[in-house]
Amino acid sequence: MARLILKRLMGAVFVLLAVSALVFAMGSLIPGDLTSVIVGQEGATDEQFAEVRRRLGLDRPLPVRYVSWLGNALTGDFGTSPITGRAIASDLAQQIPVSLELATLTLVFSTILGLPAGILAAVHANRRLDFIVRGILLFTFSVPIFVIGILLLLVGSRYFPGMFQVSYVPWSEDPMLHIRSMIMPLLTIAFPITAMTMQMVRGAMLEVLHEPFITTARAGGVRERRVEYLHALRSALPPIVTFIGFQFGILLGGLIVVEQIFSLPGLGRGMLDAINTRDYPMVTATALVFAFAFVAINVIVDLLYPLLDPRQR
Amino acid sequence: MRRAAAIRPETLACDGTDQLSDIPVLRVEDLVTRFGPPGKGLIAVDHVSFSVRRGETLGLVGESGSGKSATAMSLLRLVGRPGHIEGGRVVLNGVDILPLSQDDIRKRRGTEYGMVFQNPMTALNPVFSIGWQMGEALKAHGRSHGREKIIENALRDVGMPDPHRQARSFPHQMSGGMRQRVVIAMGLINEPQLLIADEPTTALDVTIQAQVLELMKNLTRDKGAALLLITHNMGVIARMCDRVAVMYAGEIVEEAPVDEIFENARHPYTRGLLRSVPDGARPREKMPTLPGEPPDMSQPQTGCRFRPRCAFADERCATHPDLLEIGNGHKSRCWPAQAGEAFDTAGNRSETANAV
Repeated sequence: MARLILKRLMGAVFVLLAVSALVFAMGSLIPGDLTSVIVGQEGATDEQFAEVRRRLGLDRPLPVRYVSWLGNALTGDFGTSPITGRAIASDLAQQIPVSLELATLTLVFSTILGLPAGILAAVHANRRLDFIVRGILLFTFSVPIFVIGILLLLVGSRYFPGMFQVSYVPWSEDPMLHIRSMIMPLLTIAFPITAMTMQMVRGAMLEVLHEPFITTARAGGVRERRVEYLHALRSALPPIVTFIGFQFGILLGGLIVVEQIFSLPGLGRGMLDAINTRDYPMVTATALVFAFAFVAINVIVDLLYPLLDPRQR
Repeated sequence: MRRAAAIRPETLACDGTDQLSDIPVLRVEDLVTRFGPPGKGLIAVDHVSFSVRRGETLGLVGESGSGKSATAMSLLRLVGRPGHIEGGRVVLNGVDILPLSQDDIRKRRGTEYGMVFQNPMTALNPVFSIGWQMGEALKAHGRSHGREKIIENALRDVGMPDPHRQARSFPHQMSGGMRQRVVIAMGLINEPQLLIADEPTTALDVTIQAQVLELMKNLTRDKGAALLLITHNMGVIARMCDRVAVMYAGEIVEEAPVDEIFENARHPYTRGLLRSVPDGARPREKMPTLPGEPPDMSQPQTGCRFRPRCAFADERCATHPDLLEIGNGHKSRCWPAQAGEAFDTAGNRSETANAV
């Protein structure tokens, strides 16, 4: 087990290094670098350009810049944004909790609702209950989230003005208002994600329910509920856990639209702003955070696998 | 139920004169199982009738697709959708189980009849230890007292070395033969009077097959349980069974004591099956096979279903024959057999035609 953990962690470090090199190179190689943003397109002399380049350290060769950037990044220092003038790390430190909270809430919501819904749909496969469950959830999935979000905003602010807080309020300022400000973004993103979970659970359960060992359990007289909710669900769990893990990774980076609609100061919105202002150091740092989240989730799922499936021990 | 199981050895000792042994463990009457909506789809089990007496081994033999497994699943009422039992009676220990509620039938599964499945590689749940799975079968029938001891004894009965340790291991840690022993132990753990085994050795190595068959024979004899053995293998039938029922295209076409089947088969299909048994004395390339294929069961059937493949078919066979008694305990669904005609000459002719 210790060896497995070590192996997975080493693999994760390797992947992160590769990703960091890639995002750094992309940020640096895209035509139109920071200097042109800072100095402005016209009216600047070549000397001014060179001066800004030197100040930003852009005159050094790419590998040297990468190594010094990586060294700083490892200590948690991503530098200062040339656009906002703030430390990137402190911006990220404010954005990460917002996105993390929304992603976690969404995942909890979608799992609590999607797991039983998927089981129910599988157990009643191709019968009325299955069609109802799938019909409702897949409808929410097929409507684009900006449509759901804007509809919720309209309906919420029109008919339930007291219930929702439309602009973001941090927990530290007012916990009650904070909760109210998270409800609408959560409702917007959670249902499509629930639909994905439901569909995945349904598929995994259906596959297991057709396995001969399920018939063995039934032939031994085990109660049908127990066959479905213990024997079958437990066997279908490994792919389901993997899937939910991946969803978390996708969610962290995939909240851009929701954060934009509801003005949540999260990673996705920060990323979008950074791209719009060509704030490359910020974009690079955010991309690295996304990559880190993905890799971390992967390691956790990998380490969970032997617990879920004895054949992997 | 448990008391009945406990007194069974004495009743057996009374040499079958006891009242109990006159009631068959299982009596199937006109069982019909259809896959698909009523009137459509295909009839996998078509008016099948047979019975299994106490302590007896009945072989149900036939090609793949003949309805053997569908019959077994119907007996347990575990036919998967879109399959469903359309009619007939399945009388288990004197009670017709087809009208019973789901919970009533569940209580009988495992306790009145146990099941052994074809493929031990897939018949056990990979994520639970085998001890846990056997415990589930006990818990399902409210047997929580001394569970560990019962499981270990059941594993010891099927010849597992170190049952205490094996109960904690997972299916993937065992060989196919060992897993099939576990499946047999599970099938018998609630002391049923009948064990239904569906191709129990087909997925095993030839060397292991004999051991597992021997084990099932000994266990059912020791526990006084009857055995319904479903197979396509005539060699297994010869080795294990008291009586044989031959299935073809969803119907039973012949039924007789095992010696009678091997010496005096009275249905051309049975004779074809017997000739297709590999025989060490016969050169391999001359092994005859049955010509043709079983009928498409999704189409309506007229006349004898074996007619297109039969060397003896004549105009009588355009009418569907019934399964009739033609000798002592010998039934055949064949017009020429019922008329007492011999099969020999034509049989030889068809064999020569098929050799080469």
